Amino acid sequence: MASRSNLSDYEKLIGKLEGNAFEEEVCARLQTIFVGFQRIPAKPQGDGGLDGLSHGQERAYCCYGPEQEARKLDNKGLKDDIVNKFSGDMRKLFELEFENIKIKHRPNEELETIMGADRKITHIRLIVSWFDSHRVIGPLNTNFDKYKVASQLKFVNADATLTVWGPKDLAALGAVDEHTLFRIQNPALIACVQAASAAELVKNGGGDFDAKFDDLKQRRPESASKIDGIAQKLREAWAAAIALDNDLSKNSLGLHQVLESVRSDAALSAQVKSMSATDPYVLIDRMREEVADQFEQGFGNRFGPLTLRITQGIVAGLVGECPIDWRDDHA
Amino acid sequence: MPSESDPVRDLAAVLREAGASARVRPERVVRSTLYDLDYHVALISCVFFITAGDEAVSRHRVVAHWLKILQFIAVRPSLLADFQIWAGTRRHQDLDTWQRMPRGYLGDETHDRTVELLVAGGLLAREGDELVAGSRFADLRRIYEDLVIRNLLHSERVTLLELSRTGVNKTLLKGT
Repeated sequence: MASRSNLSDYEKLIGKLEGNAFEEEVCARLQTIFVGFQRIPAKPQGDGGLDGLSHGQERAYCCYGPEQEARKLDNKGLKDDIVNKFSGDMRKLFELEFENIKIKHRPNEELETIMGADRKITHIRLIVSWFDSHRVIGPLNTNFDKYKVASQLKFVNADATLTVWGPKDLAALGAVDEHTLFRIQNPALIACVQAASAAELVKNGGGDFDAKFDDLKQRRPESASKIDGIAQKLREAWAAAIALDNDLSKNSLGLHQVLESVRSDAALSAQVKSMSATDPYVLIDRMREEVADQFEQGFGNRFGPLTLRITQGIVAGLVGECPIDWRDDHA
Repeated sequence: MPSESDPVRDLAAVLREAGASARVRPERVVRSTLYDLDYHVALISCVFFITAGDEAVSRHRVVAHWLKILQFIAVRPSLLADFQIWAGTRRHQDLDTWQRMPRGYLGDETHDRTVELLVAGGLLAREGDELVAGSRFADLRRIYEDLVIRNLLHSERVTLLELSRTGVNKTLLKGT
């Protein structure tokens, strides 16, 4: 169960996000809550007015994290910003545009490529980072009704409904765990680990890493493609572990030292525990368990679903950097 | 629970099929040089001889915090561009440039301990908030000259040369 303190912290932190940072966090939050949540990438073709869909494309989500300038917070400027932004999003969903002051049909070609055939939105949820005034609700519902009447309703159901959510609703949506708070406090770190690619980070082919997998392919030529697949997955995971290492070494040497200890302690511990083991499966599996245990001790659940990839990457690093070997001529 | 497609488990299974004998050598886990005393001594010597003035004119000296930032960036040249943008707008900082300041250097305790050791050993001395040449400063010079002759720490020295063009000002360090 989420503690009241975590909920309150999350509400405050997400309420301070602006622009893309807000949109990305909302999508990350909804992805953890709704299994079928689908984020809609805005680039390169545009998002068609949508930031996400869930429940078999019946629920549509539009996000807005306005710049929270002090001068706007005290007057109706921010309220108008929010109403204008969301009204624009809704017009896209309803395939409408203004011509002078008259509203007319305008096909939304991008939405056509997002929505499945014969699927229609039954609920639109507008999520905003600043929701201290209820005065946005009335104008948005008025526009929603107006657009519904004017629309050909190709993508939105005639009985569709609308709600407006703010930070409190997002916080109360589900558990706010250690990972959720860490993600919102360290978006750049999480993004760089997520985006890490083997192509960028393991430029020299991995040296010993590749030699070890070549050795394995010579032993099991019939499994060569499978071994290549395993090596590629490990390279990708290794890239994530390297990205984490690089980021921590620049921004938090305290946590970087914890990561260093995970590697060395796991290797030592796996060796001790597998001294009597002759089966390589037992040894490698022990190593995997040790890395996972040590990582959890050091970082808890801060990296949430990324933890598995990072721990796999640490093991891959130990293969690439020599501590794990299986070649006969390197005894 | 790991998923079925866990590549580590897949690797373990292939090793078993291949009849390979896997070994772990904890002694081969290389500790990062970021925590290596000798490396930090070498870095500090580079900062002094590349950025801390001309000895013929005056005694080598550097603001202690400036030394800490410079050696931190020398090891992480990817921070250089942001650092220079931040330093270049110090009188007119806004939120964008302010956040480019590499604050990670504040947690560099290995550097702090290395400086304490060099001061205790007489290679450096403290004068207010500055570090200056100590009675055994010649030892630091020998380290630097050796690095240059052997062409060691080349990347770090190139970065420091670039950093030497950024003038230190104590107002720059305010609030860090």
